[in-house]
Amino acid sequence: MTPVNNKSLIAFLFDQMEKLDSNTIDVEQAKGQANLAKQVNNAMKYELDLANTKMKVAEFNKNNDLKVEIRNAESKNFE
Amino acid sequence: MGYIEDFLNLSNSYYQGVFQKDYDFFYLKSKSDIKMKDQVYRIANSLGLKVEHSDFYDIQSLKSYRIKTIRQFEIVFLGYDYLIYKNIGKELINFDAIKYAENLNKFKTKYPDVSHIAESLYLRNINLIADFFLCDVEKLKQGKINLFNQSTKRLMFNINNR
Repeated sequence: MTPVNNKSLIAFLFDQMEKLDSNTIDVEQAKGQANLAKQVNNAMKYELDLANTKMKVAEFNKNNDLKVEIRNAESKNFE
Repeated sequence: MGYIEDFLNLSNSYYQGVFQKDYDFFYLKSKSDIKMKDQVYRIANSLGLKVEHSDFYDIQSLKSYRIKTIRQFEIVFLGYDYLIYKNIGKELINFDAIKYAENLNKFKTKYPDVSHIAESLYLRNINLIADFFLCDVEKLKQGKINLFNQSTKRLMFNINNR
């Protein structure tokens, strides 16, 4: 597993452009790689959205008697 | 001596040049009509680059000429003017339009004699980069584009235009 961030994903896309240009990969492979990169980007967006939501929930809980909790689905074991 | 000085010293009857270190873009502006292929080889020689292979292609509406050398670079012809930028793409990974504009202003203050060239080349480059990323020039100038999304768009554009 290689850790990624937005910049490394952009570098990956540029890499694919170069490979496509030099015929190292074909169109189908390039499409597949682009779709993979999109999926990774979606996962990163999800992380950001989660952080954002947690902040909003914390703010809400501070000002209200009703306490809202977000179920931590990722760390919960399979039953 | 920096690149800028070196490049300005390259000035001859054919072109005068400006080099901005920030994104490793070479900027050259011709003073007279040019014969494309001859001129490409001439420039490559003056930069000490051995031309291995060359081919024509378009970046959307802009005619450009790519030559593969030890250091790949690209020459874009716009009427009688042309500019060179190498490795289009990878150089743009760290592209920051706001910083680019700041660097232009610093450059203009430091080299007022060629500030008009730098200014016009900045505008052309911003247009080229906007073309590359398939986005609006004004949005790009204001740094309001998402480089990841635009890079994906560009890759898809390259795929669909094979």
